[in-house]
Amino acid sequence: MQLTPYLVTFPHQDDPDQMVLFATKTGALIVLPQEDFSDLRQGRVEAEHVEPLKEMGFLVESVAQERRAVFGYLDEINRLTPNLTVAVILGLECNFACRYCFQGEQKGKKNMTEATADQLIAYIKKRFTPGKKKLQLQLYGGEPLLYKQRIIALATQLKPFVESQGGELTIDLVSNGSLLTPQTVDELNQWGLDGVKVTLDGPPENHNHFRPFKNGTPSFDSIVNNLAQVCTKTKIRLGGNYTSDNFRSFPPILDTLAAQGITPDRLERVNFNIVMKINDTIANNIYHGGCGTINEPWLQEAALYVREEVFRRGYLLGELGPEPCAVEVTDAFSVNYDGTLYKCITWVGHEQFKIGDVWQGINERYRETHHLGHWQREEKCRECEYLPLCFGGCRYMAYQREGSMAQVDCRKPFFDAILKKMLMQDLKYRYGQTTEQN
Amino acid sequence: MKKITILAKGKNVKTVAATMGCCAGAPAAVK
Repeated sequence: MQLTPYLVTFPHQDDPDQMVLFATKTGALIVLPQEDFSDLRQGRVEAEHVEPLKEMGFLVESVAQERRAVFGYLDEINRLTPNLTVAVILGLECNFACRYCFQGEQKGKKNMTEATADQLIAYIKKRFTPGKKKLQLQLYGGEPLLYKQRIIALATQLKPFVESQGGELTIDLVSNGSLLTPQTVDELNQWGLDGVKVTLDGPPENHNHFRPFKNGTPSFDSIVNNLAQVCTKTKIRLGGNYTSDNFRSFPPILDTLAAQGITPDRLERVNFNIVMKINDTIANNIYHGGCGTINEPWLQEAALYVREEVFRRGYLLGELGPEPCAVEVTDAFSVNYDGTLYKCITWVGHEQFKIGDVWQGINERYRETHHLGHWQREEKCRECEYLPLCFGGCRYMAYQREGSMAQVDCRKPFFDAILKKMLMQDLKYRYGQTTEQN
Repeated sequence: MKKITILAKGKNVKTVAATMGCCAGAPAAVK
């Protein structure tokens, strides 16, 4: 047995006799004595530890074999995943006018028709093949809660069908939060509502500048009022999109939320992240800020600062681990309001990246147009310990930056700079393992 | 080996979830 090549290690901060090991293929994290780590590196392992360490991705039969396994990992996911993940844009009406919205000029009175919804249901039923255990509907707009009746109509058809196949329907909303009332949550809970992602862009003055109602009035207070009322009724995932100018102002809004009763135990997760720089013409042509690559140097400090401050306030963040891009996952796709299909929600409206529709199904040509497996052709990816965390990065970000998604969106400089520090934060705050932060 | 402290067992091929708009800006990343 050998140690996996997809491994990050560093000495424990509080106890230099201990080593911390993180397996990038699984997201497993362990601590063990230095001498045991030394034994592991030389392939000396007691029998009782072999299976657990293999399962967590730390031990492999051989490095060469594990590299081949990771090359085939997405194929394996595609063969075995019990999930069908469908993102649906119910329509492009929105009651907000966010300055950086990636849907930009596409928004307006464009709604899914009855006929399209019926065909979408038929298509999903066809794709929910035997062996599938979960239908994950991720509902977007515009603002999805402007389409509550459509949501219920979809669930009325799909929930009994999925359950008759021995599966489960879950519904996630990406909502601006302004219509997220207790009554609405109660109603949707009956249909499998699993959680809502709501975005607050920092303190009220910043949020209201970036995310006002369509008529220009501030939205911060009405969102927070709603969150305070519904955070015990459904899982709330708080998002927020920062820039180099304003990232420091994001964590303090958690103090505002806590004062309103939205305490750490009431939010499933906080995920403050970057505003992406959008260059294409079908999206927003007014806002030109944002981040062109995750490797921009300021982001190293910003990501660590924001993470630390969120953790310090007792709120949870998403765990570090593998997150395969939906473009490479066969049973994940997005549906526009008109029934056209895309591989990721971000491509919706980009005609050239349409992959089919709910009537004809998916045209497999997308495998070429979306450069599937482009990371397998890159020497730097083949040797990279972070490959399972990234699998070539975000094609949409590469496209916005370079006008093409043919090349990988390499994240190695970012991970080199801060992954160990992020893991140290996890050790300290998530697992209570250390007392001081370097 | 003396003691292994397992802090996170990690995910396997059946439990990893596909992500969309994972690197933000796009209001996606529902998992």
